[in-house]
Amino acid sequence: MATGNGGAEKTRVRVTVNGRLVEAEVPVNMLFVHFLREVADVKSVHVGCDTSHCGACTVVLNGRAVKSCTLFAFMADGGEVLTLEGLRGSDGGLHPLQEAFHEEHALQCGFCTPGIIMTLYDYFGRGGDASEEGLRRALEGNLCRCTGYVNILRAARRAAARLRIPRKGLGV
Amino acid sequence: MARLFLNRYVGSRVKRLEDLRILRGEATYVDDIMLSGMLHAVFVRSPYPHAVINEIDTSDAAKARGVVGVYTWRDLEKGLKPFSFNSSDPFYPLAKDKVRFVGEPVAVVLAEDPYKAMDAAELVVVDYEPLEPVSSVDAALKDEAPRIHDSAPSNIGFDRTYGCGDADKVFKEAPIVLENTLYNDRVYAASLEPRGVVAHYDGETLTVWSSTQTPFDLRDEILDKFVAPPRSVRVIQPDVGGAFGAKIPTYPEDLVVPYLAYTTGRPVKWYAYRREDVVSTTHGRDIRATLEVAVDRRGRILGLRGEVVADLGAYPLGAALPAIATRIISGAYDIRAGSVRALGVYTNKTPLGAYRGAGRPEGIFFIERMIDLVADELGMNPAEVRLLNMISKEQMPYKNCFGFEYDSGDYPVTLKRALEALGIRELERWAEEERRKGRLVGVGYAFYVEITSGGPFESAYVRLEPNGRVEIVVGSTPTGQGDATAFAQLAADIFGVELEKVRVRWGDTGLIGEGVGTFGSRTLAVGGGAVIEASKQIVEKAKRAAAELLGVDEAQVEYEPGYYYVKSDPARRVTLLEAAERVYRGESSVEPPLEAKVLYDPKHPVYPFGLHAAVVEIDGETGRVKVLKYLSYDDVGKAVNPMLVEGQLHGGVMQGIGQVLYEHMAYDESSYPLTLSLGDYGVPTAHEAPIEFKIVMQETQTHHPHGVRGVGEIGTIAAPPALVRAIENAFKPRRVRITRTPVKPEDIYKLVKEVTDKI
Ligand code: FES
Ligand code: FES
Repeated sequence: MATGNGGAEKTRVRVTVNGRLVEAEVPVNMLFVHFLREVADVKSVHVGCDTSHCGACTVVLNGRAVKSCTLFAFMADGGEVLTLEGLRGSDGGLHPLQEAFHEEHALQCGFCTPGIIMTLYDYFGRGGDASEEGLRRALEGNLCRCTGYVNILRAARRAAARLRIPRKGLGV
Repeated sequence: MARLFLNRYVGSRVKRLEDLRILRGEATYVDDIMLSGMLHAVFVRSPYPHAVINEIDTSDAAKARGVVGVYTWRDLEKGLKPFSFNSSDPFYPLAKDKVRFVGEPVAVVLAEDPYKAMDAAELVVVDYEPLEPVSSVDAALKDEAPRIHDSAPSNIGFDRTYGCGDADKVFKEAPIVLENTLYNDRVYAASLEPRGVVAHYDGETLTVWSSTQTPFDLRDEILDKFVAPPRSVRVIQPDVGGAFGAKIPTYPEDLVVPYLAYTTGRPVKWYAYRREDVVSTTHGRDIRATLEVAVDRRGRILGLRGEVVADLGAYPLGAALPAIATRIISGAYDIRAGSVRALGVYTNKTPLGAYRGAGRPEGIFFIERMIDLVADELGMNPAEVRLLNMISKEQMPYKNCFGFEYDSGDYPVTLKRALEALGIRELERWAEEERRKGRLVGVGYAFYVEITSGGPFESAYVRLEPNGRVEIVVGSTPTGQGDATAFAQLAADIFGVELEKVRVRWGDTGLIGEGVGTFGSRTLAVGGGAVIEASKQIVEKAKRAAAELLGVDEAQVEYEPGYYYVKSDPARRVTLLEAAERVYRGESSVEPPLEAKVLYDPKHPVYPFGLHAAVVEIDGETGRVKVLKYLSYDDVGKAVNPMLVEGQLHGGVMQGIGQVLYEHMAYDESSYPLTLSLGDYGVPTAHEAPIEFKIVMQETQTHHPHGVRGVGEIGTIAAPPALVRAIENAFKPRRVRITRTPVKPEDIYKLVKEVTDKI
């Protein structure tokens, strides 16, 4: 377990992850992405780089999409996190984003998918529109090496329609 | 069998069976495997491109907190053998006395957690004596060049000439000879998931999880390279986050990590940091061609000769690549005389390896660029030059000048249809008009033929259960392409069952003993072939039970997907499931279970072909290129699932666009890598995706028994020459010539400057 540098000071971190309180004593230098994966056991949060470029680790923290590899665990203390595991539609089934990704074949290997869906969830949640430019800009921090983004953009538009997001708005 | 499939699922845009686990966050990639008591490995890697190792001092690292062990080759050599090659020194999983590229593993630290392992790795002190690095193929080929491998007579790792006819005579007599040097620079597969390995030994079985395309090879390599291997080795390919050919080789870490788990008795995990993946995972392309074409005054190509040189990097993992590029180098054209030397040359860089297309993107880029050169020099339309030189349908099967034998296809008709279906003429007219208004827009296209589905057999195990459930295990090892869905479609339509009843599993040597894997666009053609053959055997086996139910002789019974009937009286029928139930109840003379395992070898590869086109706009101020439209017309044979075909095209084309406009694995003139992260590298983002993407598929007869051609690599093969041509076209009426990839904004900006300065 990546419980952190043995020599490092420890600190108590409490985070609500998908509605469940996770509390642990962790080294101060532990990255939040490792806290999520190894302490909170949410494996959809992926590590694809060490320079904050890929977006595979994106989660929604306190209502905003963040790359969880850019934070230390203690920085999220007291926060509330939503990951793909916790994403649900209003009927408790798949969320319209998850459905749209399935319908549009917007995932291949799936490694980027959790981060991309959480980014879009945040973007629409903040009033982002479904314009071509808006969607592409929203996704610029998330890489996908398999799909060429074509179907990801289609899925985003399909989900937007279902979520009654306007095609063109003020942008975010 | 009257017909093989129903067309209920086959041919439809069936949604993927793979998706739901992933969308619920339940997929398991290698880094998600957590075992109790697991240790973490961090590798110490060479910071030098070329150096002798005098001494390695691990004592401080070994004393660091949480460290369980620090190992060098000296600690492993009693139990582990290196990778050996004919044309080079061995590749030691941990360097023995010499390092040959930045990133080569030198030592490994095992600790209780990765943070501690990382800290301790910094304490390993290696005394290197730097040697002069060899940084390019030209430098490597000089007489006085330092030798990279002591046991090799030169820095040449592969050298063979391919050709036909009397090229010298043809060139001597030809009225026109055109010459050009073309180059595809080095790229990196950049799977979103880096490599990783986990291993665990329980006293009897060594279980290894690796982010690989070739679990069967890895199992065999472990058995071969361990001096005293365990009783049993099981390799599991968990969910893999992209591979693109770079996860074909068995890497040093794939041996070292299992070996340490085996010898320490504790589970061990290694998951690559991106910065080490960038320099330790094989790179692609880096092939240059210097070519001459002999042409008559009408534009007919009489001969092709020259040299294709690959920068193999430090070890010959990609030694076959210059050969593949050369053997496809006549493309779709009937060239009767040729001589091309394929060279693979060692340098002090990361080893070259397969990357989506593996030699075909380079070969097709070279010939398509030469064809455009002929058109431009002779003032002809590029389509006209292509039509004039294409292999005709009557010549099929056609053995090309460099040794590949194309199975089938009507290239000239396909070219014409493609131009028509994609509306190329209209686009060209539109672009011309826009250019007159001052925009830098261009349309370009390229025609390709490529080879897929080669290699040995593939395996499938199929079992039909009494309740109609179908269990399939394949030796194919898809890494996101969606082949499990395609396999399920095939089986469901042979058995006439619901798709939901079919379960497909793969990537586990414990589930099926023999297998090959996913690469070379072979999965559906070869792995799918195995599924089909195994399913057919089950239908054959249950036939006697059907005959018993129908009360007729077995010879009287025919099968249609889902049911058997009496030949002379087709109204008399029983379903496959009724027959199966009889077998499983023990009422039939057919022994249960209804299962079959097949190792299927289609014997011949197949050759997809088609035309891709791009419409681009150049921003003259910045040199940036925007892909406005991308259009493809491909003969893919039978499209079992058009949605999956499109996915392969989208992704492959984007990688082709990346190679042309953004991606570059750069080294300086002393062989030090300059590209060390995804940020440096330039994987395209959503901004770079074409604004519009149009796909047209064509299906014509192939020699493949099931009509499949293989589509995984089409995009990376066809996109670069089409896109480069579109960029050239944007400068019209001025002529510019692009001979290499990538063409970065600064290059384009320079071209814009040159052209406008001329006005
Ligand atoms: S792991 Fe790549 S951005 Fe966080
Ligand atoms: S689906 Fe593989 S990286 Fe996006």
